[in-house]
Amino acid sequence: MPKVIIVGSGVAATAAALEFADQGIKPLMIDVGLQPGDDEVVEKNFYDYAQENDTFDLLIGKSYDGLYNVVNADKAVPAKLAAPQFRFVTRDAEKISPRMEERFSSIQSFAKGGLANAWGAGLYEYNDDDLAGFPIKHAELAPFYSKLAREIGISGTDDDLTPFWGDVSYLHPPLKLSKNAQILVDHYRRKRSRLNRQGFFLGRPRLGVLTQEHNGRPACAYDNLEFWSTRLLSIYSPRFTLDRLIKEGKLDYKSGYVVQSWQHDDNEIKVQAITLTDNSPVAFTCDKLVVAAGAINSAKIALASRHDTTTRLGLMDNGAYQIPFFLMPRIGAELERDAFGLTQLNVVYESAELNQRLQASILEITGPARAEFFSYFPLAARSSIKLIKYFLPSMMVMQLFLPEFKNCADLSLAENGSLVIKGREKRTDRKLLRRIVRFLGKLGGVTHPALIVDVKYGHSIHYAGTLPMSDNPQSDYQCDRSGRLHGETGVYVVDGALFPALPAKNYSLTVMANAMRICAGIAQEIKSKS
Amino acid sequence: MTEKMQFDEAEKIYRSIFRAEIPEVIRRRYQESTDLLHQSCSQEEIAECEALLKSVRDVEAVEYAARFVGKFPLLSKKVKLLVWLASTLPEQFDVFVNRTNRPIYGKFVLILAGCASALKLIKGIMVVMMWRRKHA
Repeated sequence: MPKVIIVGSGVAATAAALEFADQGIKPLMIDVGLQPGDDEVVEKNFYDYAQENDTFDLLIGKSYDGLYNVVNADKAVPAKLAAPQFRFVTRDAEKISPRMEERFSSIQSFAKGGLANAWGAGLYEYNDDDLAGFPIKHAELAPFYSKLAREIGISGTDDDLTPFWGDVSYLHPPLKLSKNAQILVDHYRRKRSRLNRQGFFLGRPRLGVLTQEHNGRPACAYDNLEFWSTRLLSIYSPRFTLDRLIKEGKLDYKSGYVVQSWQHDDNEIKVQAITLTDNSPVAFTCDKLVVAAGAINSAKIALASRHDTTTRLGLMDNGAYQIPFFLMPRIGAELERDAFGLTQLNVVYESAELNQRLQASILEITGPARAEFFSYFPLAARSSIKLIKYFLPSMMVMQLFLPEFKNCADLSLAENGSLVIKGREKRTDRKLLRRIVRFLGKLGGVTHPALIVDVKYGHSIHYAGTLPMSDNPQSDYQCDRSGRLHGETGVYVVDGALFPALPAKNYSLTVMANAMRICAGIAQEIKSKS
Repeated sequence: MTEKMQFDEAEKIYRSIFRAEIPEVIRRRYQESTDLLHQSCSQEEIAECEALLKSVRDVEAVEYAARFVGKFPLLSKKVKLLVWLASTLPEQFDVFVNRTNRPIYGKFVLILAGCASALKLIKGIMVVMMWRRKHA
């Protein structure tokens, strides 16, 4: 049987391994593979625990990792990635893959399971509208969406967002709504037809979070540990699938290697890597190479394989805004200790005038540390702490994503092997933001355009488009619809790099389904030849 | 910066914000974390912040005014750091987390907090101006 190597261990690599396992092929996965530490385990609600115990180890940690955003305010990362137990997700990323960036702030992971270790677990199908510009249709991905749903366990429901989200047959029941989210839903129900006419639709998210036992994993315990524990089995992580496949003998996994490039050697592909411990060179050989290191690192490996320091590849990431808002009746309310601390609701906004479809997630903020919000309020220290206590329970945050049809950055390889990423200027659509603020007002939310935070490019962490797929690839850095890199034999790209456009919808499930589609094709080719 | 100076600094900031004596464990953690903080600061910045903290009484007012006018970012970071450290203690749980439904009281507290901040701002700006005049 020809040898298959998968580079990386994130969502795309995991889906590739899963499909190969289903097809009876045992690939070798080469990965850096950083793992969570032997951290403190909390087995009760975070707030119940915090009331009785010193949470220093959990919130800040012995190495003071939790204070990363205080110490490095100019290089702040999303709160979850600064949490001590989640620091492994981005640990040593700059050392392993040095970058020079302008107007773009990428977040890289070399952990086993990749950035999905700290994700919001939003898992959505792309419909044919979303796939406009792709050389594939929803029908080609549909069987893989179902297969993934069986592996992961996706919660959600049939509601006003079903026309955008698709298949409801595989869904587990949705998560319990928080009190704040329930107020928004009640307002929406009352004004539904008017809001729908204006293009606004509200509904429940599709999340890789269990609401019932599935594949030996427990249901969500609503314990507010989403930011503090890597051991929450109710939130899916690709590590779960990888560990299962390794245990069942369906995957060879080698960690501690940073893949640098590939070369064709006679009829084989030689994968060049260096060891993480001492940078010594190591080579692996294979017949089929599946590159799944994430859109940025897959592009880097492709450029390095061709010793190309002149080409500038396009890079996409969803533009995003964070819109904090509060609900007047909830000021002074008791903190809801058992609210699910991530996405509560989704909004889809279709505007013919703006000619785009936007998606927003409405997040509960019971998850992050209370001190995280200290500097959010423009008040003196003691007053800010009062606001944390009495005002925060009434607050939610809307994370608004914009579609990306053009590249927002260029990526190239410097002579010294570093990545160079140059972002484009971001333009703010004030008219759109005013509409969103008005929409929130109709749901009972109070906010102001001045409070909106423009998320810098790179922080949506939806990187795509560096090696886009096309029906008719022209350049050396395009792939065909089977994921094969133009001009290469046996080299396939399966991650977000393939996406020629980036709808406002979270792309993780589609990255996974597309990786499976490509690997099913590779498996078929292998089987037909052997 | 000596250990004693860091201890005194921690005590002063803590008292100003929480109106209480600083717990020993916070004092020790503050010392360790400010060492980290200082790694990314210039010597002048550290010395200036140290001198400011030594000479002013109402750290909260000065920090707020400094934040408002974009001065002394190190002082704001130190206050933030201490708030983070304090928030991890179970005895501070009720300072940060509301355990009872008090909608009217909550709104009243918010109005008071806004007024108190305005007063702190005026006081802080005056203190910072005087300090700068003295150290010009």
